[in-house]
Amino acid sequence: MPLLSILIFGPLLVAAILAFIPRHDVGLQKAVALGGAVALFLISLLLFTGYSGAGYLFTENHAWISTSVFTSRYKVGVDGISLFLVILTTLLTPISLMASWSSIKTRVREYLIFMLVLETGVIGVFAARDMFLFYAFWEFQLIPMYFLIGIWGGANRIYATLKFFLYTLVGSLLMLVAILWLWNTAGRTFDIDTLIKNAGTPIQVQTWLFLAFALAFAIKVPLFPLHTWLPDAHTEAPTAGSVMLAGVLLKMGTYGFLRFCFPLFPEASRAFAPLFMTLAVIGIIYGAIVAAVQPDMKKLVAYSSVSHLGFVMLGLFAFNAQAWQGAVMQMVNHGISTGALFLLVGVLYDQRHTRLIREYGGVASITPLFNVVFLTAVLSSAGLPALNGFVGEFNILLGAFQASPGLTIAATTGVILAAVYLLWMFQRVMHGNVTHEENRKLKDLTHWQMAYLAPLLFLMVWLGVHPNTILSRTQGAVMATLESSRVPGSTGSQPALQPQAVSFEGGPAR
Amino acid sequence: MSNPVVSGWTPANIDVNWLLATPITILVLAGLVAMMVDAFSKKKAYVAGVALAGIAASMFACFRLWDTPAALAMSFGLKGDAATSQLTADNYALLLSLIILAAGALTVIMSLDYLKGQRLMRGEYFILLLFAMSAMILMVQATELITIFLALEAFSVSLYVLSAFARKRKRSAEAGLKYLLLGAFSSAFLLYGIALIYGTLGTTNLLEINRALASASTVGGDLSRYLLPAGIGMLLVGLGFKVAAVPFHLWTPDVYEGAPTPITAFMSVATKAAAFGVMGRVLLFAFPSARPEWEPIVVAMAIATMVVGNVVAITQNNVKRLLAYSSIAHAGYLLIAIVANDSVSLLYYLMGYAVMNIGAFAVVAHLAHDGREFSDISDFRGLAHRNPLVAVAMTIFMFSLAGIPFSIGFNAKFVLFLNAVGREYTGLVILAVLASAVSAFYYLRVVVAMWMREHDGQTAQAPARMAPGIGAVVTLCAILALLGGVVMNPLVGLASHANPSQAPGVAELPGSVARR
Repeated sequence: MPLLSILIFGPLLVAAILAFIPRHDVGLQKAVALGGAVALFLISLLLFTGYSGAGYLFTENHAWISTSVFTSRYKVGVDGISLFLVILTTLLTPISLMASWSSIKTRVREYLIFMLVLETGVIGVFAARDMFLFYAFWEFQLIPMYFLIGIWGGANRIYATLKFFLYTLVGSLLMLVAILWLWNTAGRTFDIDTLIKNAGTPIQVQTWLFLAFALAFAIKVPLFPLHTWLPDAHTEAPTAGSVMLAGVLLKMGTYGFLRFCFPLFPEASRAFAPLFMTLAVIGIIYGAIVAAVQPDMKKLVAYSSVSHLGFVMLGLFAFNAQAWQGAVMQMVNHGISTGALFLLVGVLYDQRHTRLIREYGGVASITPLFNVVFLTAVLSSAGLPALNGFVGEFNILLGAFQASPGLTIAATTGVILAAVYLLWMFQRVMHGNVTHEENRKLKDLTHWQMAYLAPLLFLMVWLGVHPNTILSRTQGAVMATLESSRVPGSTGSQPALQPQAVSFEGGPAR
Repeated sequence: MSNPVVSGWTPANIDVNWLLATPITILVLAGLVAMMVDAFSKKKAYVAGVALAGIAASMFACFRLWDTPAALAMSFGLKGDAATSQLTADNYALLLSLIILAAGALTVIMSLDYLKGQRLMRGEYFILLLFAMSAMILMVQATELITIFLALEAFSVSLYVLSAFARKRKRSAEAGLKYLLLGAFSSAFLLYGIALIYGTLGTTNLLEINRALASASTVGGDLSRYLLPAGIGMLLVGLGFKVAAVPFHLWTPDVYEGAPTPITAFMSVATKAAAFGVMGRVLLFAFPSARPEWEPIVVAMAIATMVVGNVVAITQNNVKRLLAYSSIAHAGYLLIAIVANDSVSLLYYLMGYAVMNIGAFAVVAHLAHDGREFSDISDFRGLAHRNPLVAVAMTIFMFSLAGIPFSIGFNAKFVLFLNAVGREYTGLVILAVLASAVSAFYYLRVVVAMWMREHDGQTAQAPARMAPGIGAVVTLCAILALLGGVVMNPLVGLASHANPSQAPGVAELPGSVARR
């Protein structure tokens, strides 16, 4: 069964059905969209259960474009790394739809369509095995996000969405030139495997190509100092938009480094590693400090993303299996934890229409269930052991320490700062006395809200205790990527056997 | 045989194949019939009907002539020497003719509704369109500089009148006058350029020019070292004016804004196709040996055109002016294809551009009503509310023009840039993608107005229901823009089948388009 094609085109099909449901029948529209998204999630679980071993599975390879100028094939497949990113996407889409069930009141049908189109674009990016296909999806997914922020966003939405669009586009277009160059020099093909095999470009050229790719990905991550679009986009985006943006869209950047930059330009990647690791550490600390002083909860979570993805970048540029395992784990974790945080902030915002921390206080006594869930998400995001966040960060730091002890020590302060800004926010919002009388009317989490938060809570705990669920499946892919990112002719410098990621199920992950 | 003596040009010595000219003659005949119909019938829709029938017949002729062997695709030359031919029906000319005819057909269809709404319904409108098209096709079929000049003048005269067709609107009259004055000026340059080329090489025949330049001994004397570049340069001034390349673009925004919207659509696509077609044929076919002379000029024009077109477009508040600057910008990308000796991308891009640009102008034509045009960006506000399908179509056109994937505009740019990088013009491509990023900004302004702002209620709103003709054009173009974003093989296949043919005895194009 062409599982990946179903996942890529399924959302489009559901969106097409939505277009034919009468405008006024909002209930049916929501039901169809959610039903479709849930079905797609369940289908994506088949990827998980069916995945075994290393390499690309569920590969589909069909003739697509075949002209005198160039050929490009519809080639998709997932390895251990993209597998979880695809599943994260299919998981967060229905959750986002449920979270915006009642908060989106205008132009519901268009909203649902754009959410589903976004799912198509993102899964396409993670599954593409052909450079042309990858680039098309990469740029295409800007459109739905552009509309989601621009139509259903806050007061300053048009500025924010244009900034988001143009920032990302400029980076992407320079990557396009690099892709074209690569095509010309590496065998006039867009097949990614062949490109990697042929990409023996001289280091001077590699430097430029690497920088063009890295710019596109670094803007997306976002890596300090290219992060300025992110807080704007997050503040203005509707809750569901933020969940998708932080949960999966940012991962496209880190995924790009891992999947394209390192295997295609191994020498240049290593040459720039000190620079990128430094920027990552600056991002970790800067993001954390700026987050700490935000008066707006959503902006705080947005800046925490800058900090958390700094860890991922640090791990990626450490070039060893342990750090990469941690980085992949952290990508998934960040999607879960930050997604949950955005959802919870949205729960408060929908009732009080403010996200300012000082407008709250003592909420814990009014909404006990919310309190527990919020605390779990905060602790997971802060990297408390036995919750999911810890495993990723810990492995990143262990791996990065081998590459650059100094920077890693600096990065470790980010872990402490994360606890500071998150717990401080939690304390000001949830504890103390009720300072605003309006807050007494806040409702606790409904069954509906619990229904979409529960999967995330479950994953926070489960992945904290059984990280091997992910680590054992990413291991093969990480080793393979590491192997293909080796600098040719320097086998000695890369020990064949790296220390494996540490999990808590006794010994290295298997 | 290399230098045919003039006395050889007697009727008996000339090899004439009238069949090759059928796409032109059919249109002229249709124009004459339409004149009669116009004179004797009150219903102007009949005139349009004749026009459409003529266009369809001409298209059919193009299809029949497709893939005529190179030796037979030449006409009006001396017997036994194809290199003296003055008319060709190679696939290159036929594909350009088809683009022009398709643009004309869509223009006629949307004009019916537009003219009714603007109370401009007159028969001569369609007749002039037919004559303009016939001259454009003559121009792309011609392999002779004088014929090219005559054809260019012939279609320009029609377009001068058509630009001023809404003569009671000041802007339309101004557009016609401006186009006429500046156009006449640029034609003079073109003619002077032809004269200088004749003075240097002793011929105005493209195929003979190619032959003469290939055997360098023909170019004698010190004077020709300066005369030939001057001639080519002036030729480029004349053609640069027609394709709206910077610095010969100043007429474009005013004429595009003032002319009736369907005519703007037609000009932006058909004139561009004809003029770029000729530019490609002249530079890449007749003057490949003189590349060092013209390449710097075209490169400079491409850079200036991309930069000026895209940057100035940002400040426009009228969608027709915005699209005028956007058409300047697209001329810049097309000039890259000329520099890169890439007729495949040139043709493919022109096809893609025709689809998305005519669609966009059709939406602008839809907004016009009650004898006025409403083409300010603010008139597009809230369109997604009032008329979602039109807004969706316009959004597709805007994203396609901006070059966002899964649209024909992206694929056209991709192929063009790919070939340019493959031929070592990476610098130009980097500039082009940066210019595209700028272009996204102004195309998005239209999208923002339609989807994210509310109509202010100050100006009259667009009719909620779409007129059938405009609706058909918009729908067709939107579907093609999307379909062309996923399916590339047929159109690129057509384009790569349409290299300018070469007569026997003519030098091969250096670095000619790779046929793999």
